Amino acid sequence: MFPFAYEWVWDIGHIVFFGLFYGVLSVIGGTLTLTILKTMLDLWAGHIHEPEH
Amino acid sequence: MRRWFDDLPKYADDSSWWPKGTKRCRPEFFLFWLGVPLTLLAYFTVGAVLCLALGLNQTNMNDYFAFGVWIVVDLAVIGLGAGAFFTSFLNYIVGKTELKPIVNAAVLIGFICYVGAILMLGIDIGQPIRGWFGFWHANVHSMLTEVMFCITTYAIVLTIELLPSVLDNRRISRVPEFGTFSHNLHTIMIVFAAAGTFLSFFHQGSLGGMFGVLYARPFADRGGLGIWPWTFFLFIMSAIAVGPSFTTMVVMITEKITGRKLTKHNVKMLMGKISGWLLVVYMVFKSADTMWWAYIKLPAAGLTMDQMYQAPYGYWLLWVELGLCGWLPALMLVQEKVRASYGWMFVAMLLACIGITLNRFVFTIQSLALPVLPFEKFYAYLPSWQEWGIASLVLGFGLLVFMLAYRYLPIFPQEPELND
Amino acid sequence: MWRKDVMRFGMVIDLDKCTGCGACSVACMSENNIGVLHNETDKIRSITWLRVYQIDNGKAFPDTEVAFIPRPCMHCQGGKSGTPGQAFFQEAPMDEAAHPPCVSVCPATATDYDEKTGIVSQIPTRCIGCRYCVAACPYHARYFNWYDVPWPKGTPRALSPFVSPRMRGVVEKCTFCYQRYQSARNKALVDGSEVGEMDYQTACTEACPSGAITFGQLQNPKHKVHKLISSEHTFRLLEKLQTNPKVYYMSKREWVRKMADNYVTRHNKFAQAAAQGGHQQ
Repeated sequence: MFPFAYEWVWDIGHIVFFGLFYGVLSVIGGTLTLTILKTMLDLWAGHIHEPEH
Repeated sequence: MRRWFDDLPKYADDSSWWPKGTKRCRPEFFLFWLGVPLTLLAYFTVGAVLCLALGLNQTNMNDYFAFGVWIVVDLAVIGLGAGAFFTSFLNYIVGKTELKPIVNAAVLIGFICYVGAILMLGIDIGQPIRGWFGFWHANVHSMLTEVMFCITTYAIVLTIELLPSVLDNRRISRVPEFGTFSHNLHTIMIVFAAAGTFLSFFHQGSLGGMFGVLYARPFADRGGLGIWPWTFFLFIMSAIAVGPSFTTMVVMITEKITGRKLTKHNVKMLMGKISGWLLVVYMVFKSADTMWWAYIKLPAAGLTMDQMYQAPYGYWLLWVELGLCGWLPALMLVQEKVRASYGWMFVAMLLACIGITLNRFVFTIQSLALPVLPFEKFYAYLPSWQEWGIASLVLGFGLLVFMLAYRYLPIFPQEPELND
Repeated sequence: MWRKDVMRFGMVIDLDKCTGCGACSVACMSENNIGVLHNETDKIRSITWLRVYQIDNGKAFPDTEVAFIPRPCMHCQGGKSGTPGQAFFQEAPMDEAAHPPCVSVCPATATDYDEKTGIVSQIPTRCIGCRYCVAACPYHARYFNWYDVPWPKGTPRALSPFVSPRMRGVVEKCTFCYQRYQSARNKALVDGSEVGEMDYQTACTEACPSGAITFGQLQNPKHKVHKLISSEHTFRLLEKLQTNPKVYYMSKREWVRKMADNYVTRHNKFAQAAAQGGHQQ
């Protein structure tokens, strides 16, 4: 899973697989983090969203 | 209309938690019916404790049936739960916003399917505490590694996609932090839908690829393109074809049980139309693949179809999977007259879901039953009661989560206008 | 045909000499600390790294003939099979990496193809017990520990210290007695010599009373197996699946040879009739 693991080799299989995996993980984690930060900013600025239902 | 229980004293009132504009049954009745999933979960717990404490000898699996009913259930629910990613993809990315009224239900069903599958898989492996080795010491060439990574990541995506529904609960959303967070999640949902689509494409395919790469097991080995066996693409196609059917079917069952309309019929008809046409495309490729396997691949391994279809896994399985539960529902669902009829559309969708379950069944159980060495024997397999207990996790956990979600979360936005 | 820079350990089993006594199987169990279950009546969960099958020619008495096939792990190379002239084995230096059916499927890298020796290893302490490799192997050479072995009191002291016993929930299989290779290699290192043919022999080879099993380096012209595999009487199991195994079998009996693989004509009556030129059976 990480380059310091015993069986890790820098071959095309590892690069593609983990490149895509960490890429998607970054997108998900990054978007979630940004959403949380935006929420905190909104609350601090007083832009509270009224519930529709 | 007054009913017999309306005059009984009310001991609890959770109506402030119900979605706005809806009515739900009395809490006492709800608690009573919760007994059904809780009983199933109790059955699961007994089986799970036995298997974890005493080992997998509690099952009827053996060295000929390395995989059993749990893998069939896993593959089937993940295939059926594909409605989550595909409906999200169509709604958020392709822009088919007519599906908005059913997308929350699809995500909920997907969440249930994937979390249930992961919990079952934890017990299926011989060393559950070592499960993390599949991540830490990952073999990038294995389809199962791909499955493990994608399914876990996608379960996280589904949890995030389900979060707004939870936060939109009438009382929870009054808390400014939760309401604002939910609103912000709604606006950025397309990113998660895209991530979910990407992950789902790969793991739905890899689940098929798992069996297609077994080049030394003639039932499962059906050729491919490069490193991708044809089963990779066929499993994706069947999953996206049947996913919308399963979602719609669950909604229809909920409507019948609760007596309330949850979505307009045109939404269901659109899901049926999508399902029908994708099913037709899938059946064309599946039929071609089956014929190529039967006439070219099998004889190259020195085997005949008669050897592949021995009692009790006889030819009837092939005709039921491809005919009754393959071509028939496909041809039914593409017709508007069938989709306009609530009952007939339900029947067609049910047949399609049975078809995909059978497809997952034959690739695991039938594949393993057949001997490859000429002097090996044919074995049959039936699960033990402990195995059925663990297999009932998805149903029990699913019913529990679905019942709670239906009661308290605004899963069906069209419900208020359709019922009063 | 063979890479010259590596060793490819393999086996030739003469089925005309095998009496089905099972000494090889017992020796394997003793050498590799394989346990016996509480209840061994139902063999379907028994662990027999080397299993002896009994086959017959399907004819009624007095024409019945019986043979025995000892089946260890085949240590498949994978890839395209060669021709009879190449002893079926194909592994040119430019060929792609080995592709045994069971190695690529393991999610936790608990099994590996050793490029230096050609042996497919199994690491029980790494195995998570998913049994994907068990499903992949067409020879049923892989076994899963459905039970913890109930070693009777005192027996653990008699176990071989060179092979770790396995707990339940992991897969195990024949390793061509790799611990013996390690001993031979260490001895050669100390002596400053090479590992000779007789320095590394598997337990089953040594135990066979009729000398039916020959073990050695298939690519080494000085080893007995190298000559045996080019005999016209050698064959491998399930050649058509292209697993490229390293266990060869020898028999002068045609019906035994025919039992090593699947043939469409054997089961398809129409094809049989066509093959015989339309004659009645």
